[in-house]
Amino acid sequence: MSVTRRTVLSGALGGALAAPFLAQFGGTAFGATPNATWGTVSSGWVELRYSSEALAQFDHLHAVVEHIAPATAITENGTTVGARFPIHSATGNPALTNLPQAEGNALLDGGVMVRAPMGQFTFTQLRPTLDNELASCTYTVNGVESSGQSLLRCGASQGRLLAHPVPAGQPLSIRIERVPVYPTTESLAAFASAFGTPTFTVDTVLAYLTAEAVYNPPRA
Amino acid sequence: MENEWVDVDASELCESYELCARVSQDRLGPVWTALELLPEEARRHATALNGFAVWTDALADDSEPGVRQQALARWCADTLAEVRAGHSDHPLRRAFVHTMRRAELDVAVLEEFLDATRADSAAPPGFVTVADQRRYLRGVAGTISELMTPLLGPRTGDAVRLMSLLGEVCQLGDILADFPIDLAAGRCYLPGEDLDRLGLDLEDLRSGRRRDALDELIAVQAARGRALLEEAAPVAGMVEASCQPFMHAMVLGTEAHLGEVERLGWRVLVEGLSSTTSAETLIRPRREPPAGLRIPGHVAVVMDGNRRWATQRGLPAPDGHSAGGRALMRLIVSALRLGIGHLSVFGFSTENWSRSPEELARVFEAAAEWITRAARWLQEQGVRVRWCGRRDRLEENVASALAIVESMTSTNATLTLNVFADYGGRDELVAATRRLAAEAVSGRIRPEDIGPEDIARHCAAPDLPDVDLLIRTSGEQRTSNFLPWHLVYAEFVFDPTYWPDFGYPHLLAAVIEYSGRHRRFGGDDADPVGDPVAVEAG
Repeated sequence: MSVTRRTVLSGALGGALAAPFLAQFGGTAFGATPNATWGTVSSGWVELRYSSEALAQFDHLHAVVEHIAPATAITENGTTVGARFPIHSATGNPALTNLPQAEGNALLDGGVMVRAPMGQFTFTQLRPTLDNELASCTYTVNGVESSGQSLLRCGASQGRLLAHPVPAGQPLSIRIERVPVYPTTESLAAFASAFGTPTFTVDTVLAYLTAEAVYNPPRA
Repeated sequence: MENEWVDVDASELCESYELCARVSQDRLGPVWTALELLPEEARRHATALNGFAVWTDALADDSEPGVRQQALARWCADTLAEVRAGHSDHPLRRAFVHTMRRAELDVAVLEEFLDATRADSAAPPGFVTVADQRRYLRGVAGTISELMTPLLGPRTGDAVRLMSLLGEVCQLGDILADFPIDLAAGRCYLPGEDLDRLGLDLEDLRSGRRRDALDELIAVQAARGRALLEEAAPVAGMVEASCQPFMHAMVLGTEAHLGEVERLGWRVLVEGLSSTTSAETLIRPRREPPAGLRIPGHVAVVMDGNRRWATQRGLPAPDGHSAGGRALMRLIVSALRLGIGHLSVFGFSTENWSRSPEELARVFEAAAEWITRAARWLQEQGVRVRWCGRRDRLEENVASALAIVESMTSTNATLTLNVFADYGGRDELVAATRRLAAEAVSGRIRPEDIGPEDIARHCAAPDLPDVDLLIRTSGEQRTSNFLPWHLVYAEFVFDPTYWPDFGYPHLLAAVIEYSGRHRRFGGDDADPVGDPVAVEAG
């Protein structure tokens, strides 16, 4: 059933996967004026739970990750294991009739601060973009805007899509969870030049992504 | 994916593929739209093949005969040399050669295409027989279609032959659509024996004289195209699942094109037909019920015969389900054309769980494919989708996707499509009874107050209206546990057609039969006011 799962995930949610996570069907601003054809999506958030390999890499670098509000840290037993970012705005094309072409972009609220012996890095203005299942991202690091490299690859077919029927016209909660996120060749190279040889590869799951939002169908 | 590019300059190759895409997009129209349904790698290579074919075709039609012969001869020679060498520096052929090499496509088939194109360019066509015409169709189009086959992950060897046939039908459709252009240039791609039999000459075709004979001429061509298409259509289920939507789109598009040719009749000779216009009839069907018909408000269909359709053709059962999905698309388009308000389709009974897990997996895979692929189109047509039946045995992702599509389409009102899958009528009534009993036990309803509306509100779709017309395909004459509550006054039509072959003419025939029936709803009166839509004449 792997083909079906991939199809359903990228088809039904389309641009929801990866960067624009739960982007609005249609293309106007996230949660903005109701879209007469496709409806709107609101109250969205994205959560990344770091894998044990990622946490080990943080330890190896003696790095501490903090989160900048309104992003929040996810903790387990007093240890930060992830972060949740509210979606400020998003647009996307779910490509319901052409699944591989799902694309979109988003602006996430909040940010991440990494403290390490070699310095302190503050990442804000996170603007992820999805194209062909590759997530790239522009962001501001220590006040300087970065270029958008292909940072992450999302294993869309391995995630779970959750939505339960609601009465006609009522808001529908949609969640996608346990989507593995891998580094790309580009992000590995960037990491190596900044921090030395990483302990992970392009096949290492760095985090698991969960996203949720409320879909409001178009009005009658 | 990365390995694919190591032997060539990636940026130049990318540019070449992009050029092929631009060339294809400009010339292929709806076929380009269908190509976009392919997975990325298959799409890229298919685009290279089509871009090359379009470019070659343009060279064959371009400039003065002497000049183009020379240019085409050189083009063909260079192409073959580069394909054999596995390398090209030409801006367009670079991608084509890469695709030929990468997919190990048959150079002999390419030679056949080039030879046929050169022959067509050198002299006006002069087909004496249908067999002559078929050789031409095979040469200029069947070949390219055959070359595409390995890109689509064919499961059987017969897919190659059927893909070639599909290419032939597409080319025949082009011939029928391009009549005015070709006739003005003194070219007629019809078999001479067809014209002779009807006593027609080229001037008759140009002028539109003798319309009855011209109508027959066009009908014969369209019927021949339909016969070829019927033979070719099973190929849609013989390729990788991810490529099947493209194949279904090609089959449906070709059907729609031939349908438009039939509708135009002799006029296609003088007016021609744009493939975009044909595609519009499929993509955006107009509501145009025949005058004087009483259109049923709620049509229910038991889509029976997928497996027998497949068996009849020596195909595995999943191929029948795949073709059945295409027929469902055709049914929705037909319902929109007739202005039917509610369509209920029975696709998967609770009893079907006794079938093999492989077959069930394929059915669900096909259903999920279909619904997610069609969701955008359904929404644009104003179709509300409802899944009626158990969901707990659906794979979680599939069930969730359905919930999203249902939500997205929930306020549409042009047509309500009720998909009854993993549903059984007795189960539905038992469940409704249990819920009512629970209400009675809790004191929310008194047993003596229970009425039909209380049963209805606990059915799978509480606001589902009574069925006016039930159609069952494949010749079986029973309801098979489908909608026992809603069928009480339904008119039944049993059609011997296997479901994958069901289309607009079959639905129209059933509606005509329904329209002629006298409905009394258990009383003595004739059809009461409020019975479904009566279409005014004119």
